[in-house]
Amino acid sequence: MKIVSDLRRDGHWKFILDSHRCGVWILNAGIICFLAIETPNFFNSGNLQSVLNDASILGIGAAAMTLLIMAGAFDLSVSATMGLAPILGLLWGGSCGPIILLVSILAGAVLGLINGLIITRGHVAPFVATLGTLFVFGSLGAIATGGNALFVTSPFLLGLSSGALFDIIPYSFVILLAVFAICFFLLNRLHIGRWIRAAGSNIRAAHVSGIDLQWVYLVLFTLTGALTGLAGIILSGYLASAIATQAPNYNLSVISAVVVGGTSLRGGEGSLIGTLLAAWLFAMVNNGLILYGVDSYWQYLAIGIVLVAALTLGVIVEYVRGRIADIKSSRNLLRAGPSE
Amino acid sequence: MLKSLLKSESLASLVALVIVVIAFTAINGKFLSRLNVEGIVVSASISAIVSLGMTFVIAMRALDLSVGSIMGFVAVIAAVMLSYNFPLPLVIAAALLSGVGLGLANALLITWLQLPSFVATLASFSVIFGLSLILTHGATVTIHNSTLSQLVIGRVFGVVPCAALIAAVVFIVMTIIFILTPFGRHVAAIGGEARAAIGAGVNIPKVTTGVFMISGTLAGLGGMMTAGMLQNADSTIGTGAELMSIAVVVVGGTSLMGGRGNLPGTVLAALLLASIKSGLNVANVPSLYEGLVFGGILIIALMIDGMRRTQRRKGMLVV
Amino acid sequence: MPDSESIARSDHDVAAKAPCKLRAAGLRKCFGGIEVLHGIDLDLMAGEVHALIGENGAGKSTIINILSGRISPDSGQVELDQRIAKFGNPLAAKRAGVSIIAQELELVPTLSILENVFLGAEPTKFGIIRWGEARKKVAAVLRELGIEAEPSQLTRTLSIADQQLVEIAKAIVGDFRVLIMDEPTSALNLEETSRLFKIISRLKAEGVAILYVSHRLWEVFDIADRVTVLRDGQVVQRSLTKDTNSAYVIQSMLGSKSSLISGGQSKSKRNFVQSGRPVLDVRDLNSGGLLRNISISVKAGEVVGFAGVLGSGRTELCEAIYGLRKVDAGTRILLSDRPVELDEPKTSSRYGIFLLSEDRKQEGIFPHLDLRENVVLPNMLNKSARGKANPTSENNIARTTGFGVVSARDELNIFEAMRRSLNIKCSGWANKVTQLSGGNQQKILFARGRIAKPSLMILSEPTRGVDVGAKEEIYAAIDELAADGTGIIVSSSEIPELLRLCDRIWVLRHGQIVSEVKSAETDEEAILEIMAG
Repeated sequence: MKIVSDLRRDGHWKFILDSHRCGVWILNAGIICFLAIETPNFFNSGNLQSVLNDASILGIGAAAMTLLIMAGAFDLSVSATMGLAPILGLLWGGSCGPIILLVSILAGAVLGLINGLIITRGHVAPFVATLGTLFVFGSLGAIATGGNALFVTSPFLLGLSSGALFDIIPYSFVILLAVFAICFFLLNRLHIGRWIRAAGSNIRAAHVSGIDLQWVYLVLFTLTGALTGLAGIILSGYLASAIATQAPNYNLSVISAVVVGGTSLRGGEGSLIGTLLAAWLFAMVNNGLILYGVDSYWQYLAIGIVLVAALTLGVIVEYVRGRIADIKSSRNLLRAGPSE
Repeated sequence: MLKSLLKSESLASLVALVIVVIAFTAINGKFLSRLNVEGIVVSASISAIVSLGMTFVIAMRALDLSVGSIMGFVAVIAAVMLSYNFPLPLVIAAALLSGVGLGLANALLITWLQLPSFVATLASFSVIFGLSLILTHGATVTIHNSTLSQLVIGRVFGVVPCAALIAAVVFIVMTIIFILTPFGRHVAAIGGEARAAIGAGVNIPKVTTGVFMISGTLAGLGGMMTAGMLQNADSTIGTGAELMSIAVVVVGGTSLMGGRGNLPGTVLAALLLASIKSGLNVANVPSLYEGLVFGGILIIALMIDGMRRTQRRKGMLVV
Repeated sequence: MPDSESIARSDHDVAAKAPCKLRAAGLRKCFGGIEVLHGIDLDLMAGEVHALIGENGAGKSTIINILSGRISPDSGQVELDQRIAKFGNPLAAKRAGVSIIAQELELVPTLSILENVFLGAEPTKFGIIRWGEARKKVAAVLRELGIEAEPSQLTRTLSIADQQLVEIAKAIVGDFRVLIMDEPTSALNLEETSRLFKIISRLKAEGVAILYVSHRLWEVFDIADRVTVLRDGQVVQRSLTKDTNSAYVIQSMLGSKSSLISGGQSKSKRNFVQSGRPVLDVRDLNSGGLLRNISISVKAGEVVGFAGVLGSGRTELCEAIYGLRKVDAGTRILLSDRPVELDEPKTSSRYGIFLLSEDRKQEGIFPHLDLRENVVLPNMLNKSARGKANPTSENNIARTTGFGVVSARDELNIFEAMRRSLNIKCSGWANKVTQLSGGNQQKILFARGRIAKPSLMILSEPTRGVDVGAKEEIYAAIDELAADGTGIIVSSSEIPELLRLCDRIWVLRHGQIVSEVKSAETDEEAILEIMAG
């Protein structure tokens, strides 16, 4: 019997290379080639670090969101948490960098827990509940600072966000990899990961089979909040400031990354690796546009087109594969002759 | 129709509206001043128009996240055309056509590419918003011509703002379409039980196209009216309008699960939320607190709804 | 056993009659490389009720889907009024005059009866719907069917039985020349069924050709003029109903494989001594007006049954015991003499109760998870539990929080064991559940319950959509489980099944228990009579 872990890994690659999810691979490959030719400064160490940083901030939140979407839920409030959690961290964490970091993460976790409670105990649909908390948390973030920005002065935080391991690999990227590793482990090696996929696959069956769905969602929303808080404080470290509106549309960017990465919005199946690639893709495109000298106003358009392209490519490839299969099977039928 | 007005969710909104009006007037009498009430009515009208379109989309169990960007885009187009002195009827036609066209684009993404509506409209939101940005280069276009403005805030019979009249017409037309045409019933059928609709031979791509075209048109109308109201336009018009109109529709009593559409409820909810916004303003509550209030209302309204749904069959989370 | 001679004889009789309304000739169909119809011929005559019977998996649904335009055959053709008809979709078939009453409800719950009946065919004038005439027609049909609701009522407010009647109304309003009825009475009581039969007689007199698909032989022999028996994708018997009887037909349907023919003999092989203490004791269960004053008990190793039509409360009772349905205060449930509050499935499953729901698609299988996970999922074998005597009953932290590490090796071993013991036909643990046949899917769910070593297992319609062979295997598995000491409840609409499996049967009607019978002392007819009241 083949070693189970091998099979798992095979399954993962097969999943990504599966037709309608390959858009992200193709685009990544294509754009990297394009950039290599047109704007080789892309590959400068400083520039790559900047791109990796962007990708990490997006990716940390997207990792959690991947799990959440695989369980069949949503969290729209992450944009607000990106602002509120670091603000709370800075207000209550004193001046010690690591403490601020910890408090931001905990604050994010609490905010996520609130989401979870509203959904599980209050019986409100995740979409609407997090829509509400998006408004509420956003407002709280603005109230907490009177609409102004807080400054980040802690050298620890500034270093964390802009510094790099061995001067090459940004710390934020290291954190990203750690986050992904944890999420991967949770999804594939722990029972709760199965429960997540079961909930996304068929929530009624999950309920009937005795899985504690309330617990699963509480854990997922808390995790999402915590990781968003982490991403938020890293962003603040990078910008050296924290304001409630520092990540507008973060929720939509994160969900875009998850979807482009191949995770289905209906739940049940998904790919963390795909999300990672998609986060990188978005960061790369943003950066590439700047390097190429494109007006900043074109960026939204570009991201939109990338989104459509990634999804379309998948559909096209699937269609082509389907046609090839049709041709093959009709050829087989002809060869086989009339059945008994 | 009277029956649907008396639907419990609408009743709750109506009661809430009355309470809110009384409360804010007590805090500050200016709340009921003519100017303020007109402002509320105009803003509620625009919100209602856009939300009525969203009601259709949600009744079909879909979402249109691009309405905000469509509003902005059309507002900009209208403003630009007016600044080049195009005649008003042409501007209106262009605005509505743009809305239809963008809605059609959404529909194509959904029916041709088989993308879920959430994703498709997310993508188009990006693209359309990007187009607005490119058109305006981030600047604001001022309208010097007051014809559009008259159409929006001008008064009919000296009392009712034009916008309200437009909203009323839209409401009546939408209600007729939803309840009295096969198309409208098919929208509810697809949202309620798509299997049944397919079995009955309903052409789902066709209905989907119609719904998103309606949503786009009404969003365009709303955007144009906003430009008229503000007498200027930039790409930030309509920011957050999609989420806001989803909130209006849900508070108005339409379920995200699809199959039903409470149109009067949507209008009442639009009025309610516009009144609250104005009330907070008049009560000198800093605008920073608005989100808190709106989010709170949304959550509480839904928690009450959730508790009221006494299910004999144990419900699970409604995702 | 029917032979080719007798088939040819009845064909000859048929050919001599009136011209044929709908004829199917040489229908073949493959699904995923497996041929499910091996050349079917079928004639529907005007003014005649033609019954099509066969076990699950025989091919009935495929034939119906072809005749109603939902799918097209790989070869063979369909003729309507002697002209070749190629229905590309259900709407085309409907327009051509072929009306179908589907087995699964296809109603939009948020629309009214009127809107549902005319969905896709709304009467309009200048684009606006004008209900006038249509409403009258629907009201008349509702009266005829005995539904007390108004046409403007939303269908979700109706009982299941009434909803099924609305499905029937959908098919008989309007113009049609051929009517296909697929298990139309699964939710109807005898009174409603007889009303339906009156309507069928009326339609017969009007010259409609009717195809009646059912596996309820007493109905078939009541209403049908001719009967065609299907087995494994082939016609094995064609007779006029007056020329044959149910014993003969059952033999044709089942072949020699079924223990249902031999009745309850297999039961006696069970030699677990049923101890005195009941595993489950339910007293005075009331639930929201749907269930009233229910008291039942199940001993360890005993198999009890719930009989009753759909809507009689069988399913609701299973749900109430399992915690999927609220019970009113005053209900007492005891598990092994310990009073418990079963308010949620997760509580019940912790107490060792397992429910195999009747709708496995909606409430059973996880389409995105592989077979192993579908079997093992809720029971969680942890690495830390390895080697323990009964690993699934450990109430450790890993089990409750889900933070235990998956032990793939143990799980795969268990899966293989289940696969062998239940004879699940699949290509491996990584298969997708949706690719399995109905019978194998059901076995997967049964395995899920089995490995939990429950003290009580509730099976709701355990062989719905399951073919004959798999049925037998599942019955054997149930016997085995009971022999191991599990208390089992079987809720089923198939009385022969209940007689085969159960020691005692409770009959429900309108949410109440009307009788308790010992299966050794009764038979199908008697139970039917009790059900009718």
